[in-house]
Amino acid sequence: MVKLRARFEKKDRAKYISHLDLYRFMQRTFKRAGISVWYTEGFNPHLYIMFPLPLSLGFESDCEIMDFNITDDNLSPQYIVEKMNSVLPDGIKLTDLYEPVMKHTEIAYSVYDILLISDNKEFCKEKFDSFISQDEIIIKKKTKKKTFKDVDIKPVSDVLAVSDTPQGLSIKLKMPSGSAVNYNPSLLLDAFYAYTGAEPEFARINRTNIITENGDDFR
Amino acid sequence: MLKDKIERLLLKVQKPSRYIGGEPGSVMKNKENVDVRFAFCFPDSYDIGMSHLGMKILYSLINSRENYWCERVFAPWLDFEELMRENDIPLYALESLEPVKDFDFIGFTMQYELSYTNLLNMLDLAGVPIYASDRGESLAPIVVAGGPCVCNPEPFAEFCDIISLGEGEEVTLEMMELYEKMKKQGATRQEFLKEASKIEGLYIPSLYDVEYNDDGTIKKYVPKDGAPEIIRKRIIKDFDKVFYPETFVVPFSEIVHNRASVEVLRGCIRGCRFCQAGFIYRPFREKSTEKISCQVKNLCENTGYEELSLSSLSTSDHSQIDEMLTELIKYTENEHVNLTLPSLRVDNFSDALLEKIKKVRKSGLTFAPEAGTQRLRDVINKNVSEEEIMSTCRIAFEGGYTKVKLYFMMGLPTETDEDIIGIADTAQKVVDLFYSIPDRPKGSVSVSISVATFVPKPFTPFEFEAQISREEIERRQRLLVDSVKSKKIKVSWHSPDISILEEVLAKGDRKIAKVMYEAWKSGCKFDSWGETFDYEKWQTAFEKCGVDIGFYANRQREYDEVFPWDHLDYYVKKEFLVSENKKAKENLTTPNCRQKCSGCGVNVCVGGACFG
Repeated sequence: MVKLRARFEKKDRAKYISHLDLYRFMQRTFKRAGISVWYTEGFNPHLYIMFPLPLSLGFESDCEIMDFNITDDNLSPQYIVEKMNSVLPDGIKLTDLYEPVMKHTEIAYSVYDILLISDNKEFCKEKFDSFISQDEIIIKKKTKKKTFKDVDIKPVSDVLAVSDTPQGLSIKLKMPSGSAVNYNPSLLLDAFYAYTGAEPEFARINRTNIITENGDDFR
Repeated sequence: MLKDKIERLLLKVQKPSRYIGGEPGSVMKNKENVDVRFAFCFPDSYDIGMSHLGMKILYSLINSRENYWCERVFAPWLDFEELMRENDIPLYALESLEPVKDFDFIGFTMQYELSYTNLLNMLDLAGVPIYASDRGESLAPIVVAGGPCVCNPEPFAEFCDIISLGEGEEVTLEMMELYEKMKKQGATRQEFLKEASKIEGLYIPSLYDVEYNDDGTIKKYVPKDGAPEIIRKRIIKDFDKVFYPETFVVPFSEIVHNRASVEVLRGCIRGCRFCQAGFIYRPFREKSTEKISCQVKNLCENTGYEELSLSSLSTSDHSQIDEMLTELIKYTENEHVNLTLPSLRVDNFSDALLEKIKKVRKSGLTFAPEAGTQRLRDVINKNVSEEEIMSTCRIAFEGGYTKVKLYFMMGLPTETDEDIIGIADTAQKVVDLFYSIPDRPKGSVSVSISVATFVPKPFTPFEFEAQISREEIERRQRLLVDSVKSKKIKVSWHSPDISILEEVLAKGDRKIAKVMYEAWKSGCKFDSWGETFDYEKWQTAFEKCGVDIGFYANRQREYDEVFPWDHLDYYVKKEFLVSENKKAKENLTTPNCRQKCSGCGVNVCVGGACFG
């Protein structure tokens, strides 16, 4: 048995596959590719496939992570990637496959490319700069007990770049990710919409990287 | 671009992945290289439609032609429909995400009477005139309907350009080939329809005038422009060689039946007199075990499904059932695939096979005695005895099951109160049986009885029969509930409204079209869904159009009455249906087709005898 970690893209029409449906989707993909994945041993054996960091429905990603174990030690990662990509639909593609280097708990941040598309002039760099330079940005965040509490998300919102582009307002954002602390970029965006008093026609959000506490790529 | 408009709305609706396509197995083509485009519409939600086998077969079949492109279309659920209308998004197909109105064919599969209004709603969403007569002279789009319900298409015939009768694997391509040829010649819609009427199995409603008698019954159908007087359904002669998909579109989200499915046989030998499928899908034909195994393997490998189902009206009637199941169980166990076996009679299986089936059958056991007494079971020709019900339940209990589901009908011809009480008695005997078994499973038993109101259907020996009245349905339902004495027995039933509307739509004529239009205009759609069904709106529509529900639902027909479907030939002769009806009233049964040919008339299509 070999433990493997895949990095995959989730784009275009595939961005509407929910996290809940992704497991079955990948299970069927392995079957179509003819790759024997290890089944858990127990009362109800099931394929072991693990996604350490969920992606919100509708977000795109360059860097999703999937862990699984294969039973045939002789399959090369290159062979598996080719086989899988030949049966995956447009929008989903394995881009890397390797034996895991890090633990899931080392995931600390995600980096997102955000594009706000709107005819409204409020959605511009100037407005966003003034929004983000407030002393605090208070939002209501859902707790694990399903209640809401006020949280200042300014300290956790690391804006790496903002620019006006012909397509819309472009924002590069780093936010905490992982099983312990997790902030969804839409929290900041919703606060921005409240600040401008308008919503864009469409927000394209793409996760471009998953990184560790000291800024390394999660491997 | 339409795709951008769609994407901007998707995160506002439930289960967005059903509106965007792109699933594994979906077929993309370059439209520049395509001559004929077919939008295959299922008049219900994605979750229901994607579970339907017929659509998968025709989708693959049409797409196997390089220059034809078939795409899927489903009825958007209420939340998305509202957004589509607000944002001027017309009904579109899931592969190209392009408007359906620009296609050459818009095909609907009619599976259930209560989905008829969705056909109107989808045409409207597409921006296509609802009445065929309003579609002008331009060739496209041609609206065509097929499926079991088109054996009486009259209630929705005026909304369709073509009705395709019987099995679609051959006639669909013949129709498209004719279209391809005539499109190149610059033909009009009317010219094409006239030519199409010469293809066996294609019924063009606009080429027939209907004359009525003073009492509202039909006098005759008058064909125009050389259309045939009688239109015959299509049958696949060599079923073992019929086209079958190598792969299915595999949905991203979970749907009703999300699994690989192989059709093992078509038709049914049983001749149950209430069952429309048993007559309109005749003759009985089966695939060989080798063919079935091969198709199972292909489908499982190409879809990656972890569940496999065998599809048929009665799988246990396959002549090689033992060998077939033994082989499939071996394959599925190796491949970690769950085998599900719906519609299976287990009473005549070998012990060895039974052991294997027990291993793969996890769900509860269902059984359909259909009627509560032997006399009534003889009337409907349901060849099941009480001993068989009990012996099957015994097998189930000894195998560890504690839940049994029994299906019955209420309102069958000649039914008396004794027969209703018999339903409760049968369930009670199953409960008693459980407690009489020494090594029964631990815990208590649960027997669910589900009772549907009988809906007499065209092309069955009961097509002449009236449905019992609403008051009578309600009285018999109360009688049944009062007759059940044990808390281990749970009774469920349908609302009478549903059964009454089913009957009117099943046996209706062209006068129903305007009622359906009115009902849809007033908001009726998704009538098969509890949360959207609104019988009052339907009632208002009937009143507004001056159409009497009772004329269609509660009227006993004479044997010589001309029915709205009499010009359609499903091979089963009306004289045969009359003789079966008479036998039913004398409590006489008819042997199954394998035991003895009953002379229904279908054997002419296979050139002599169905068996041997």
